[in-house]
Amino acid sequence: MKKFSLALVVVMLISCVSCGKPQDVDSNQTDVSAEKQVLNCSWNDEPTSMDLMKYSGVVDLKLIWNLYEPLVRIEDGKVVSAGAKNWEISEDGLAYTFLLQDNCWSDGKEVTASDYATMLRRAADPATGFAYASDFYIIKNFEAVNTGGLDLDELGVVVENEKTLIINLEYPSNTFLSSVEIYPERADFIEQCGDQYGYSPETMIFCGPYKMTNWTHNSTIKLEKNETYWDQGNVRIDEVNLHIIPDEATRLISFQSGEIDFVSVSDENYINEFRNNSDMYEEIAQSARTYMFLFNCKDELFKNIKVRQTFSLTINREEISNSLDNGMTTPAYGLIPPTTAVGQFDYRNQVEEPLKALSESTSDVKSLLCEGLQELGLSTDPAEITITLSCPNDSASQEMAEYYKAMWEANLGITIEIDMQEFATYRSLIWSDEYQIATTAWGGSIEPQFMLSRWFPDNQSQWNNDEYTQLVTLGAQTADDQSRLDYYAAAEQMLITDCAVIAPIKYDGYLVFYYNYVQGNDNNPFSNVGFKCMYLEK
Amino acid sequence: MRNRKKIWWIKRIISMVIVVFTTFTFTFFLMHTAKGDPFTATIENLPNDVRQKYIEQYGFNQPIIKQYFIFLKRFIMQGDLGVSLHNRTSTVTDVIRTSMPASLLIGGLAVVIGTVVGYLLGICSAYTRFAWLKELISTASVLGMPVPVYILAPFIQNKIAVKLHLLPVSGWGTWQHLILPVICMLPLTIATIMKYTKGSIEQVRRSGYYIAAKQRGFTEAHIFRLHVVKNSAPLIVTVVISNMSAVFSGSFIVEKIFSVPGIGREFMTAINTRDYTIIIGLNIVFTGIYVTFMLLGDLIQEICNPRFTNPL
Repeated sequence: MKKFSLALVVVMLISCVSCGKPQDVDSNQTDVSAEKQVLNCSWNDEPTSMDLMKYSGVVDLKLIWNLYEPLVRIEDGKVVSAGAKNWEISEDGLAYTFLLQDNCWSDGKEVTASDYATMLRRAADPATGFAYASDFYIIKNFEAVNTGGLDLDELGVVVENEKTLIINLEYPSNTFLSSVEIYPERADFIEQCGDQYGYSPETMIFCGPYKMTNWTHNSTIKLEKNETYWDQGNVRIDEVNLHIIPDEATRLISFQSGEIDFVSVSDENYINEFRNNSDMYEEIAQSARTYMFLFNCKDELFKNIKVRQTFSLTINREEISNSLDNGMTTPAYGLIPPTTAVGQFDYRNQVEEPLKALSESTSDVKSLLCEGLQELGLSTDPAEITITLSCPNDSASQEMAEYYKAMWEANLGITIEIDMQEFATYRSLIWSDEYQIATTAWGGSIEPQFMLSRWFPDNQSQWNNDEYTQLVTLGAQTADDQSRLDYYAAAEQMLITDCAVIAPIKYDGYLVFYYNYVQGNDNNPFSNVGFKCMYLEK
Repeated sequence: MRNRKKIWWIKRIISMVIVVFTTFTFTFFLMHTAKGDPFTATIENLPNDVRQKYIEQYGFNQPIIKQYFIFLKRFIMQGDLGVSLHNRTSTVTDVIRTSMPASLLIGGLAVVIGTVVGYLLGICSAYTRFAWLKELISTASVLGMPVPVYILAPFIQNKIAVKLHLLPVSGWGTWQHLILPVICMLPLTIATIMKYTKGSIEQVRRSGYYIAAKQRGFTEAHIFRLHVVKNSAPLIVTVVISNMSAVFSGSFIVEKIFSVPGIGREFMTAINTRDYTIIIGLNIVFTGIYVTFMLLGDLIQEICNPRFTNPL
């Protein structure tokens, strides 16, 4: 019994240690009463690098918005001045002259036109291997320089003087400012840091609203207000703690306990719980992202347009959005999501979603499938068809895949086999011609051009169409809003219905819950203001 | 006799080297034959020409056998396990240096506390005269063993962090951050150690020398010190050693749920992003640690029972 008592003492000791009131457990929580404004938020993933040439995705970009000052920013869907005080566009629309703000780097040196040119020169240099170089091809000679055809000095970027930068374009474009993000980079600092540049606060230099003061990998990133920033008077949050929490349940529990100030939620139980809490409010955020099925157009079955159309027409989009996604997503009958604009026009208000018309004109979907099968010289009995649906192996994708399987099997009488792949394998698979149907999602920018250009030659659907490429290119090069809109609408119709290369499923949307004291959120999907406009209200 | 022991240990060490080398070879070929590459895995819309450029830059276009020998030569000649393909400033050593301490701290605490508690409960369960207590401890061990961390973790996060506001939900940096992950890792360790302790003590108590000692009039405490501890030790030491070696590779699930910047997360990230050098490098290190611990286990067995290395 003595030993048992000893065991009990040990267990109790552990319990006491775990139940002792910690002294500084609340130290990282938001103190809204103090003068210093500290925002705590969570990110799902760890960023890779703050070297603009090495960033690999949205997570890196969201941090870059806060640490560097682009020439212009997008605030609430509108282009506003940022690193450039103002700009002039030449009459032919081919030259943009930017007059820079009096902004400084965190070491006190002025931000100059050469710094912005440095970024563009690094991006164009083929030796850099910048993954997103094609987004800059609108700049004169950028593509030729990037592919090694021209010398770097031929790049259409001119440093007029310390505060004036001229960028020449290949063709006039109304979307240049909203679609190309140009940041400054310090050539001397990059040279000094070498390979280490951008991987730790010591090897970074800042000119944006915040500077990074600590980066504990896979744990926390700390941002502090940058005192040398030109617009620091309008930056109200003094400190931001970015907690990297990959587990969704942990993020929600952290929000519940007040350790983070806002969180996006998809779990119905938590949504109901948070809705009943008067300390919180919710906002629906559109992410300008479309979920879709990719058809492999080189596949023996899916090379036929009618077969692809059949699969697209038999998706229960309303049920997916309303029942499976709790109404947070919107059924998609086109590729281009709402909130996308073409100049003065709201794209989705002007252009009807192409699948709606096809759906109305097709009375018998099964006979469309039979026609397709006949054209292919295959048996017209759907029961003899077995199709493989590929998807990533996470639990959410698995759940959706089971639903899609049941949906198509019930609607068409065919057999669907699910092929779950680990994520890296899946990424590689959907760029190959080794799948039949696969799920994916693409995000867009303000104008439809970015999304539509994903189906230029060498795309995931293994589909090449010169007419389509020409339509999108003409759209991008057209200044008149109405004509541009028409080009894009024609291209979308070709992609979604006439050729049915993809089958859109839903436009993404998600719910964000904030504590009442968090204000100044900009949930416009195209905004890149970061934390600059946010503040905490007592 | 001494020579035979020496030969046994030499054979043992050679077999360790062979295990590490085989693991390296298998990992290398398995990773390189798996679909996907480090570049498309991290950059969503990487153009094919840029991808090709990267592949050539890193030498992945060369025959796989050639790549293997280049890697092997560098490893043997320079002891260089390579640089991360995603963060060119981070070597395998850097990854271990920055992320292993966190895993060691929570895993080590869990093993130490779990072993002490499990051992005491095991003794208690083996010696108690109360049937209900024996049943209670056995039932708790049966229930404790299979409770998955992903069920236990949200439960205790909710109770301790949200309802009582006693500890942070997740994160790293203060001693409070250690408690919840360690608690989540305890049930399995406690249950395992308890089960083996109870089993080995009961086995000793059924043996002839125990009954003989008892009949000679020795007290239970005396027999426990003299016979039970020593004879039940080998099995328990093996289990503890095996638990300790697992600590070095971290626990991915615990680290993910509690946002612990540990080696388990680094390893999973490396696999998901096909960071070949980090995967292979970490696997060699994990294997090396594992076989060393196994050797340590043998050494302790040898001390407890000198006949161990002297099979007839």
